[in-house]
Amino acid sequence: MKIKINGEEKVIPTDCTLDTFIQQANVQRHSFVVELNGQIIDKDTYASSFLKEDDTIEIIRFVGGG
Amino acid sequence: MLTIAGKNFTSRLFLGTGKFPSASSMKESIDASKTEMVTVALRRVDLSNPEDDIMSVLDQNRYLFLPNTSGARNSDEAIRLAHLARAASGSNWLKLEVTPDPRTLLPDPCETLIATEKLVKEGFIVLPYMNADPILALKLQDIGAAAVMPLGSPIGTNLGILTSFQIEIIIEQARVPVVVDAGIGAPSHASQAMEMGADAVLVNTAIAIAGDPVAMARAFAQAVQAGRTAFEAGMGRRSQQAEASSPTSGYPSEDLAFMD
Repeated sequence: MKIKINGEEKVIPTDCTLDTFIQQANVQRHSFVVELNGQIIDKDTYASSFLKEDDTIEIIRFVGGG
Repeated sequence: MLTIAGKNFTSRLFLGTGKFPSASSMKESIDASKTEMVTVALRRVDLSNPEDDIMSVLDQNRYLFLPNTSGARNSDEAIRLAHLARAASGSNWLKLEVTPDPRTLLPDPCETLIATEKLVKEGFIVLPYMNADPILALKLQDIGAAAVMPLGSPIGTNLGILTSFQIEIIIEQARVPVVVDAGIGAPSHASQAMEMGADAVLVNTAIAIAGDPVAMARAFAQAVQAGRTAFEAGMGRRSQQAEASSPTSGYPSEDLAFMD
């Protein structure tokens, strides 16, 4: 199914959880935040958040800035 | 000792972490500056390079992280970034930055006021970046800003303190710490801000793009200390009229025509 991740369209398998997706994307766990369809998702619920068609995900972390 | 929102700071120099030539240069400059608070921004993870992570270089136990809402063009966008920042860091501290015009990067006073009010009510410790407007500074304090951060000149310009007249008024009327932020391009500018009575300064570009950022960070640390010491020592008054530094009597000459 088709989702949008950080502004880009991607095709992922159905029955994919947020947890699985993040693990496969190899994102470091300690300093990022995930927004799913405009809602910040608690880390504890990544494993129980199933992605659906046309979901929009933002994975955001800190970078250098003034 | 500087206190903001109940937290004590020994160093009155805060650092931005942007624009450094490398992660190691950034880390060494931060160490050389002896700062206790650094700003960071919030951006998308680069999924083609997910390991790239500033947090891995910086030790959160050594300095306070102050996420900024850079990129926000209005209060809604700033509030969204604030929520993301808090979720990512676990901290309530926030540099509120609302800059609708990328050419000037000047902060929108109305949107900054709206966002400050909402975020203070949600328990954030808000340090709003603002133009050097004394009326706005009072309004931000009235609604609970933990400090005010008036600009010296636009972000990244290194033009120094172009707003000294207004900053002096802000400092005089302030009930919360005043952190001069943006445009400080040289250690002398930082000293100038501290001599005026600013409680702290925030510097990024001037250090990050210096020929030797680590040395520049050290220079800024010295300048901030010099300016603060001078302020506490009580600056001598200024005069339009020359006043001799050496005695006006006792000059060893028969011709006293030039003496008083």
